Amino acid sequence: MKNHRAFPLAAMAAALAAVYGPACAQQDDDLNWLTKPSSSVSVGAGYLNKDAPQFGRYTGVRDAGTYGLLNIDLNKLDESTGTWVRFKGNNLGLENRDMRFTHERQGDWGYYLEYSELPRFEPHTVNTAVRGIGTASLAIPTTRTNGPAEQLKMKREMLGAGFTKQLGDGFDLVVRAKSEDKDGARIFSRGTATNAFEFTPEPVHSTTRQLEAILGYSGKQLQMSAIYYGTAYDNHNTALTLAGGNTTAFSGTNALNPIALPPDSQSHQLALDGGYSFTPTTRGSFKVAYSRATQNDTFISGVPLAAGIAPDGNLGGRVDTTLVQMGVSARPVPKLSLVADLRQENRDDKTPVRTYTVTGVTAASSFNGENQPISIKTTNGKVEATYQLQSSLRMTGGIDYDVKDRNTSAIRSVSFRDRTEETSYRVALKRTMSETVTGSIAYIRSDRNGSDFLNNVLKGGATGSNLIAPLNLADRERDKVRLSLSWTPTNDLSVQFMADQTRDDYSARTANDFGLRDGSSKNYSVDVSYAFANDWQASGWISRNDTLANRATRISASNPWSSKLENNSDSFGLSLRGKPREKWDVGADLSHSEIGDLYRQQAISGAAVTSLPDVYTRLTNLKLFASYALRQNASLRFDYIYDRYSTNDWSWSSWNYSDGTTLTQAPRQYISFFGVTYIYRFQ
Amino acid sequence: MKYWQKLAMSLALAVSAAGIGPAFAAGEAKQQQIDKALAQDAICTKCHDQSEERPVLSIYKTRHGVRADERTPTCQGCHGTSDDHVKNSTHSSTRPPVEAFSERGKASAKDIESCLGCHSNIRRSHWAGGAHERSGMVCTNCHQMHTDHDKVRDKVTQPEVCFTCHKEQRALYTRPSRHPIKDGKMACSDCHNPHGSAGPTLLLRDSVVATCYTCHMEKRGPFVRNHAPVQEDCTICHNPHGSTMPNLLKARPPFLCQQCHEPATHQGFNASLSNSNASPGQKANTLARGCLNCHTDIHGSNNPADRANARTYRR
Repeated sequence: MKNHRAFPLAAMAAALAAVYGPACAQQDDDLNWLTKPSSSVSVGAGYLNKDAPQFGRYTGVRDAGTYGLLNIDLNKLDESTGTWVRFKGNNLGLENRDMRFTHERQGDWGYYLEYSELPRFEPHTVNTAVRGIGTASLAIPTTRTNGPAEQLKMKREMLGAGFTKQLGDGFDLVVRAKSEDKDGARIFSRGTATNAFEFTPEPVHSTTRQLEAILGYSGKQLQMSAIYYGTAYDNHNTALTLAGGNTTAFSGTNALNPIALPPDSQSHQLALDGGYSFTPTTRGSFKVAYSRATQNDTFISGVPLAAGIAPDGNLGGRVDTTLVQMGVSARPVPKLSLVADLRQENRDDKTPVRTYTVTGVTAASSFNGENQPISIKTTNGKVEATYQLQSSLRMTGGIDYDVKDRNTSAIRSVSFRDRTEETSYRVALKRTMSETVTGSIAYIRSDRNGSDFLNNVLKGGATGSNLIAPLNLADRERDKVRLSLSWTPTNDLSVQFMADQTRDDYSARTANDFGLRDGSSKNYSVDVSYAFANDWQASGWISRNDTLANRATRISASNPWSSKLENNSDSFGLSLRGKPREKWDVGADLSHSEIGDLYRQQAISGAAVTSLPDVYTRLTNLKLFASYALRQNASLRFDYIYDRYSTNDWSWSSWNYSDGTTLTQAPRQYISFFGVTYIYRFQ
Repeated sequence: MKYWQKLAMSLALAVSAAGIGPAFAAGEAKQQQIDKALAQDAICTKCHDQSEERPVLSIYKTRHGVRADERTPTCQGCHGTSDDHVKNSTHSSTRPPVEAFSERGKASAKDIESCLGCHSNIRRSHWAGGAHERSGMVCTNCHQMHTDHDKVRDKVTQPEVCFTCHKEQRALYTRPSRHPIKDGKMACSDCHNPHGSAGPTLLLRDSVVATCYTCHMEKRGPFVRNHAPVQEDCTICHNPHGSTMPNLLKARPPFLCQQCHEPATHQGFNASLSNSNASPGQKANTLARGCLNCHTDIHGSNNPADRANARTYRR
């Protein structure tokens, strides 16, 4: 057997001593390092050479400058009682820090406390004269003004706690609770079709809470849990109120005030979840759940209401969801395994239907002034059989079935069908070609259709525009082939190849096939890993991922047009780990992606339609590290990160809001981050 | 509470609890249990030490090495008694392999029974018949038992384990619009339960929307004006694994929206960088946030008034 570490074989004797006598173990440092949980503290500093809008989006390293680097990993085990004390703190000097404290007696009880921060920086710089950003009242300039630079940001701050207790006789209790505050502002706007769009950043100030309590039972054959899961969403801003704006030039935007923000809501779920082993080779699983979600937040003030809707009223929203799921897995004979399951989720929207407005509702309206509750019942199931044809060849066949039943209102603006049904047939072969080569091929055919399409209907009963079958409702044939090959000629070298190809075909709805016509995706990847010396390992991968969608619509009856959208990406990654000298550990990780988004538009008839410029995005990330062992329990670590982002995306480059606000980003962002940390390990 | 106050509180708790730990005295019976387990392990550890390619002694740093927990297995508990291997009764130059998990990466479905003997509890009740079980996976395809740092149980390193098979997701997660996975703040298991679940695609909750609501609860509603796909399945419009479009959108507006919406009025305009082709509003279909420049409350509006503006998610 190949030696992996240069640990003295004498440790063997020490190990024996250790397992027979803890007192001896405490006298032997080497053995302690091998067998007892250790802890570490790393302290250091990092330097970012320039602002990093893309790299710093979630990392907490956004602005150029110096950062404190602090990580703590404490682990203590009382071997005589099996009691653990752990504390882990990651990125404590950065804005994306998190920490978790755990205290448990293994097999008996435990509890934890946790805290986490997650910033989300908007990568575009906003130059705006809109005031009050982050609050629910914004002042928009009355004339076009390009104001000073602002940095939009949101931040999540989470506190969590929980405990577990083994109650005996196979019963245990788990309780988890979490509260998360989200604060900041994000891109938002108000606009009309008269080229008036004002920048109105959405104030984000909300709290979410989750509580889960699980009473579990684990017996020899039956495992079951009774679950309560409750959530609450509390938005501290009900509405966004706007003042100012160019009411003369853009009177239309003035009507867009106030703007409703997401309402408070709650949910409660009770569930039974588990499995039962009928025999050693036959097992069933099940879940039964009932949920009630409500939304009764008070309506925003200052808006005209229909008769019968109280100003301080609420939607009275209520959605009851029932879930029944059961499955069975069996191996009736050694060469045959079977799987079957059936599942139904009924999301029943019981929100009362009321008339909320009569203003502007005419016979030509595609709306009647009522709210439209949405109920969905999903029924799906599968059967699958796998048979070992020969010792080296395994065949799998399966059928999946998925039905969705939805409701709709009598008056619609989008085509609709009550029911979609999708059946998929799968067959796969897996073969071991030799001791070192394994390959598999799978083919899946899916066919989605459903009930008759319901035409769009206007308030007066007339049929409206009715040309597009929405993508999630349209008839669709899907073919997918997946191939994989794995070659492991030696313990040191492995090569893996995977490819899959999917083709979607949407049936024609109109002569010009409006909506999605067809689509495809192709994914190819090769992975190689190689250990070229005892202390040197390398791995690499390369991947090609392409998607394509063809679709069409029309500007007017005489001017239909089609579009061909492509997203093509080439990516690769390289990784190296090594030990050039006894005291040195080094490593490198490189990833690179080139992504192209292509927008080909052309007229089917009538006036010409031109294509959009292609958008190319390139991302490169290089991470280097070197660690030098000062002594057995201390080391110095040096990190270097190079991150490069470039794009020619034109989304914001020529865009000006009517109030003068602009959003910009550097098309090329090259940053370097240097870090040095001192790591101290102890037990 | 300020961050540093929270840190100080947690540290104080850690230090005080660490001090309390040793106070839990082991009883005589517990010590006998520990000694017995270690003696059984010694059958293996007398030959297998840390100089092996896959070190074995470090298992004592893990939960599997806590002998005071009577549920903890011995070496033989997972690997079998392996008499042929221990005694080399075949007298061959290379010892016969152990009965279970003889070589990493080549464990069989039978080997997994060693794990399920203890771990077939409520958290894995949907493993049998789940996607990973059906594809022939076993625990050791993802988990490392003999190390105190099991990659797949660490949110920073977990994705690289999942990407061993899920290549498409590996390519997607590096894209500019993404969940903070490569930043170490989220892991695949924040949305998926790889051990099986009652939800689709091994999702943690019972549906796609219920899983997304755990972090994006503001999208739940129900609203006075619901946007139908939001209530049905977030993945109709979003690719949660990554995108070049902002906010994980599957396609750039207006193309995304035109896959459902009828060309009744302005919805059929082609995407353009200029205003020359149609009405002045056309540019707003494409630049900045595209259709969302006006339809900002796209997930649903709770404004009870104004038919045209609230219903079209503009206020």
